[in-house]
Amino acid sequence: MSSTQPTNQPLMLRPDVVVTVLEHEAVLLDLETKYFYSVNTSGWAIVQLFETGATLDHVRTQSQSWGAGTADAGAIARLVDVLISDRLVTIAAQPVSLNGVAFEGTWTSPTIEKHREPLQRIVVSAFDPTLPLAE
Amino acid sequence: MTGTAVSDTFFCGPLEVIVTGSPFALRAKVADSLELNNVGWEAPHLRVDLTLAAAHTPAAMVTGTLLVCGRMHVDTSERGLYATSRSGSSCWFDAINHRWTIAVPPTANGAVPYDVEDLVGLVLTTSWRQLGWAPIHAAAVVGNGCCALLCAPSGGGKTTLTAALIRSGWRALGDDKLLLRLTSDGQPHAAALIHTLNLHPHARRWFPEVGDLSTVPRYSAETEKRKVRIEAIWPKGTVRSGQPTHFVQIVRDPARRGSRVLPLSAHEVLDGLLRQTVIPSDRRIAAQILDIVVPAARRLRGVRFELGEDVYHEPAALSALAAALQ
Repeated sequence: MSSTQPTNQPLMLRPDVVVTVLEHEAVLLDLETKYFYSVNTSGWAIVQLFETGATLDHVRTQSQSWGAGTADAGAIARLVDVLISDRLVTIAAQPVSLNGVAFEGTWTSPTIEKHREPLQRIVVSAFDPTLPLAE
Repeated sequence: MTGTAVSDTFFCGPLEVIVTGSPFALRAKVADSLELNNVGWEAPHLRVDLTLAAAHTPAAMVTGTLLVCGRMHVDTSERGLYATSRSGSSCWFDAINHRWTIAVPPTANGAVPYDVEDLVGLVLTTSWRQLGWAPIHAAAVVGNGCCALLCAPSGGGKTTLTAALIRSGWRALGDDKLLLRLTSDGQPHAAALIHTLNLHPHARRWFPEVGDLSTVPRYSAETEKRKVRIEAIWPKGTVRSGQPTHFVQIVRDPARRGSRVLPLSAHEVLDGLLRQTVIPSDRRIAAQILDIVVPAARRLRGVRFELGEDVYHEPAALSALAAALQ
């Protein structure tokens, strides 16, 4: 599934994606894949829409209300593409209400940065996150 | 350790662990694991009740829905945690009555399985998190008005760099295990658990004051390293806590002569610090850890310290690192 496909089904953040917010920016951790992502202020505002469910049209409309211009369309599409292609969001199983999000800060093009390597899925011990050596 | 005939008490950082049960050999093994945490903390302590028992048969390995370790898998449910290890030992946490139990099956030679220490580690890390601490697999040193977290994978040089910095006047929180949390004003705060170093006997090449460690018994059959108390070698070489200001990523490069220091971006510091803590696959626990580690990482200045094998022979080898930690 890609955001470039003509789908306008409501999408929701997967329950096992954990978010930490810091000064209006956020870090997302996918507990299934152990990949984590950094999003800027505008990116976090968009991601929040998916916490209660959002369509792509809703994302575009909301982004425009926050100050997005036509030049931001590509960045918005790229961010949503990552969310969809990495399965951070999935099609909502239940009907959703399209809510707004209060945007704090100054609008800039949204960014999402996927960290290069996932965190270890298998670790040495409850304290040591290092990959165990073969015995 | 303090105790009576029926229970022993161990203080492990902010925890007061009360151990009951038998058999004796298992109790001694668990005591060894708990007593590693030799830094005394001020009261109050969270009481942790741990019962030891003999199992009749080995436990089957569980899936590891919460955590998959090399020698231990941990599942979670509403009733608590259940962990099993390769030896067939098991550990469960009764979340309703707040009691831990470790059960160990008989072994062919009668010895206590080595992986019991993994189960004890689960008891401790879970309990530390309950108090709002994030366990961090890192060394840390304090000096020059800063506190640096020294990070590397196991065997990556944390202990040797810690020892080298101690003899340069720095004071160590530890060489491997720390607890991290945020203060009420959002500052990172690191606290020590263990004031011993795991040194290889060949460290004497660089640090003659450690003496001949080959005469000291190994603490584990799996390693050549020996446990040495920091203060026994370097008096005033330890400190109990610090406010981390720097993140040092240690990179050993056998092809390199000397060392060099490169800056890390905020993105790289976050990446590096997240890789120093275990994040179980439980949404609530993971969120709690991220809520500590992410803001802490944001406040740290990061450097990458690349060093060759010869670096500790050179008196000036650490000067570039010391300059970066201003």
